[in-house]
Amino acid sequence: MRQIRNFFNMLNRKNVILILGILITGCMLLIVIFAPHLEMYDPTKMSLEDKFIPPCREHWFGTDHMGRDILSRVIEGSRVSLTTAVAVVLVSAALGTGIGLVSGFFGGFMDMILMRLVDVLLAFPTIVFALAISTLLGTGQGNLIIAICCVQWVRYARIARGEAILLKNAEYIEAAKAIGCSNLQLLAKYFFPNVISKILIMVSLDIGSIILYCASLSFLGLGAQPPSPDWGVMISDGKNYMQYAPWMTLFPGLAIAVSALGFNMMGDGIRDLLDPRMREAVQSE
Amino acid sequence: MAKYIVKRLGVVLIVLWLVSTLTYFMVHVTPGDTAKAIIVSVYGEDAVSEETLERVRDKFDLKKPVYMQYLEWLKDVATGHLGTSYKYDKPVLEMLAIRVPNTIMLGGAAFLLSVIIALPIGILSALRHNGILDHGVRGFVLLTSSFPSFWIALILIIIFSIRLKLLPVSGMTGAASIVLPAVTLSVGMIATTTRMMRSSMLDVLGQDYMTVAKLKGLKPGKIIWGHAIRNAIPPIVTVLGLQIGHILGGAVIVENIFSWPGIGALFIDAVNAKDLPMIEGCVLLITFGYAIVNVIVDIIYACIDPRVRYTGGERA
Repeated sequence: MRQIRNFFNMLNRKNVILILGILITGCMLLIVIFAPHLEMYDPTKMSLEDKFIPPCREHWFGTDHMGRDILSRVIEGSRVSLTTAVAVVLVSAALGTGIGLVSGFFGGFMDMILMRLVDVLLAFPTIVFALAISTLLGTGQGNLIIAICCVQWVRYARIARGEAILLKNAEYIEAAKAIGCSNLQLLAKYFFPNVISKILIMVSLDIGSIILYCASLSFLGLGAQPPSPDWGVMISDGKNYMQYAPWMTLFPGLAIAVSALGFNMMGDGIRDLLDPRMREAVQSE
Repeated sequence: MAKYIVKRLGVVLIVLWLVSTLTYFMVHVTPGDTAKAIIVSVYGEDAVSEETLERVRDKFDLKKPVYMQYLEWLKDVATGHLGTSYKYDKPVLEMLAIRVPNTIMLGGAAFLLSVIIALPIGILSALRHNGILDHGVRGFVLLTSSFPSFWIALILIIIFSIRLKLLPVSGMTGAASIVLPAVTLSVGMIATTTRMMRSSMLDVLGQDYMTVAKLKGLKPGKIIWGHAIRNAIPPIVTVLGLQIGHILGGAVIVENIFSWPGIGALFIDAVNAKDLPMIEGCVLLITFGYAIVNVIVDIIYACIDPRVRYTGGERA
């Protein structure tokens, strides 16, 4: 009993946000895992008699222009939309951290070239650049992931490089060199563990906005293609029927917002917990 | 000061060159036959034949090796020729010039709206730190950074245009038509600017000179206006400059939804039609706009904050 009370005392306002975030994200994760068991209808089954049914007892979120159950499609869509966003963040974090560490560690000409490239990529509104890349790659979920990664890795590379340059002169790195660590060992044993917490904070802060980027691009028709129940695609379908069936737009959007909100709250909370100083640094990005 | 401005403009030129080169090669090394893509986008699948392919290749100079095309393109861009749109068969520069004022109008309206709302709220929530407004602001920031802007746009259309019939759904028809796109575009900016204003203000309020001002016996109003706000505003100028980038990115989506005839809608149109000269023109223009605005912001910053000027423009 006392333990429980202590636990609640420990929760100040910031931790409430973290816990709410973890709860929402956890629910989303469960939905992604158990999607086929939660769907009351087949998300791709069309039935023209059932089209444009407003939200009711049988169809909680209503049905769309092809008579498909929107709740089932939103549930199935979590698998498409959320996995895309998580894939983008993981790939770009791994790529950015790797490039940033190596660049900062070795320095010199390559570092200079890479950092100019980073400057150029940062000189762009993300979505404009991702759109231009999509032209090159064509539409599709995989290409969407690549397009956003091409822009996102830069943010991680900058942080990792900054840390690597700071660490380079630390005494224990000198010591490790003196006992004969190879460059690879240095990077893996000392540099990587030192940047990983900052990178993780960025990852948790980024997922929310990446969900929104992915949704925007698939709304514009560059991601997963129509029969697939992606949230962005569903909203873009709903756009054509706003007058008769606003629920087609409303619910997939809420799904995007709730999942982004969950990740954002979790990210905020983790940042406050792990590194209160980083708060201002990230905000001024 | 003059040296500082020249240095900043030099950086802009380099960034523009790098961006244009990057875009050029990215777009021109696309898989698939460009000539075929042009014909399909303009005349449809049926018009593709050996003869038309040949004509299009001649017309748009697609026969030369890519690096020759690039050099010629670079020369053209430097002299102000951005090529001819594949889809509309009109000069890209001309088409962009017609659209620019519309985007500036929309972006400007959104920008003003966000500043008018965000600065007072940011200042107030810092003055009442941990008050109701302050918590409300944090909640608002979390919420707005979680809703996709295209969804907010559609919901606004459903409520204000379709249900209440107060505002036009789309297009640029009179003063009322700018309301919804501008509001949509400003939502994200309001969140960021409010948060920045708040933290900048909190920073200043914690400084020693605030205590000095209080000990001197100045009136609270004078302390807040003359000391706190005056010192809290300069960092916000930089933030506002960065917001221009968000406006340009956001405009791409918002203009598309509201059929607002600006650069963003043109860009999406070009991406869908694979209209290469137009894509390059749009990207170049958007980058140029963003870079120029940031130079202007840096100059303003140097004007209002002497520390930047004296250290030769190297900001910490």
